[in-house]
Amino acid sequence: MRYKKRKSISGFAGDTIQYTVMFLPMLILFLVFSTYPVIEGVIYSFTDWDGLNSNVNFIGLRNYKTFFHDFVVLKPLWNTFVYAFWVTIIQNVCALALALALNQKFRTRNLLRTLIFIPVVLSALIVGYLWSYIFTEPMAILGGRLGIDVMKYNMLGNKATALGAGIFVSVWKGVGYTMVIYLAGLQNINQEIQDAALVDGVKGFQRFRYITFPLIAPSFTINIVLVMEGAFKQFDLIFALTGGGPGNASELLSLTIYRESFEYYRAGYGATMGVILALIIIVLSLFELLVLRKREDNIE
Amino acid sequence: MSPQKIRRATGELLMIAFTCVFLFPFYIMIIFAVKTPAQALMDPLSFPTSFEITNFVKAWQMTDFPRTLSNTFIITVTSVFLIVVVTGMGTFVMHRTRNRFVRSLYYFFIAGLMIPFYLSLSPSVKLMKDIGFMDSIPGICISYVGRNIPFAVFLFMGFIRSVPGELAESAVMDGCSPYRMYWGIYFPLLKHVISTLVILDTMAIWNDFLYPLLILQTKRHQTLTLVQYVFRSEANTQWNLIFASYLLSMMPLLLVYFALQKNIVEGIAAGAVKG
Repeated sequence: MRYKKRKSISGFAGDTIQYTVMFLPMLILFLVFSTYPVIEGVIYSFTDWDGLNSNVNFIGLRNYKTFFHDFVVLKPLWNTFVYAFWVTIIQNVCALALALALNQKFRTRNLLRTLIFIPVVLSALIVGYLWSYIFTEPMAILGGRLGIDVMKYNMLGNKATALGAGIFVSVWKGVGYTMVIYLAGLQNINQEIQDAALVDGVKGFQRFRYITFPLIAPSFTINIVLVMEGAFKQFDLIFALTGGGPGNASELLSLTIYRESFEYYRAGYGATMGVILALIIIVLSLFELLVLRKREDNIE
Repeated sequence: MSPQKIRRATGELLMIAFTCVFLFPFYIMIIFAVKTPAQALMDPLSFPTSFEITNFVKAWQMTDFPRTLSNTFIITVTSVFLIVVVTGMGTFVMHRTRNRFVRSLYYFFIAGLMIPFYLSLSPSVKLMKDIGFMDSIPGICISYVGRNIPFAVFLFMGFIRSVPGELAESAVMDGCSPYRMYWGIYFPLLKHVISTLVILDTMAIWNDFLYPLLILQTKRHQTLTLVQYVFRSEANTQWNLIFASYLLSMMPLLLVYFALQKNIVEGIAAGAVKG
């Protein structure tokens, strides 16, 4: 490729101007729409702001103190951990199993992969609404016919099972995404290694444990982090599925923050919970990355 | 047949059976969407005896489908286009410049990945009100760009770093300006990362619910996902209409998915493994 020689004001100064022009849009948009609201959120977390008026009083750490005594809020905090933990585990186990199954030379494997990925493309709100109906009628009818007691009644209306149902639907929606990443990892495995293992008589679970799994460790790391972060940030799906109910049995912290901010007009308190959720996500992400990357290194 | 073949065939049949169970919700949705209201209420699980095209017509009208579809389309396409243009250039500058401060801003940008939107829920709404972007389609597009920069920077940087340095050096020798260097040399090499970014951001913005719920308040600005929230209370328990409208609103993205299925799956896998 040939480029026209520049006649512009010589080299360096011209470059600097162009660099600046190319960089500024990104910097400005990020500062205005990401950084500024976050800083404001942190500041408001120390106030009694209602989200509407400009009339704001600083109340120091009172929101933070309230948080750790507020039973209405501690339950969603606990739920968020339970939800994120189980979604991360179950979705990864299911996705890995599906990836292993669909990595075999089935004639229909491309079709099956395509079908299992479909829910990933759908909006989480619609998935939540769809399943909320399925749990109220078809599942209950099915439970009756199969004689499974828990399923005979609407599982979303039962305090003991509502969050579990939410975990189930989240895995249903997300498993295709995680599976695709595992499949990419599996395809990178050298066929020679697999064949050598087969010749040496390493089979079944042994082969998975010592050959396959160590080689897909990078996909494992990224999937754990991606699923967990997604679970901590989930809102739409649970909002549509149970709305946090019955009571606050399946309420996640994100829903509580939304309610406090826009239904009860305690935006300051909502921001406080946002800060706490952010801290949890930051600590867990860094911790996971450190631990899992170290594991990968050891395996190598 | 050898035992191995039999085992494989059994495995395949099991997977097909599993996939059918997995897709059960779609079966429910489709049989409801073609039933008469009476049938939907009285006999929910039975196989439909008629095909009520009127359900789709009603759902189309009640959700103002052409308008909500075009709103969603405009918002998604504009935002994703701007994200690619703005972040691609910006990340390139962070990579090429000798200015240490600008280079180190990379960490400032990707730190944004870990901050959940819920931390800035009310302040974001307040900001949009203050600058007159409330209930405005161009406004929501511009703010989407600002909010999606961290992930785009993260993806772009991974790939820009892998572009061989000699390529850039020889361009400098030729007297190539930074602007031309980016669009002439780097941009064509970034096709793969751009398709990954376009796929992920399109799915996220097209299906987004919470942010449009807070920002787009009048009916004529609603998106496909947002309108389902409103429609659900309007349609009450007319499940045949509700499911018909779900199917309608899923269709555009599903069609794109089936058309570009291979690229989409590869793009997602590539993005995750590189990251």
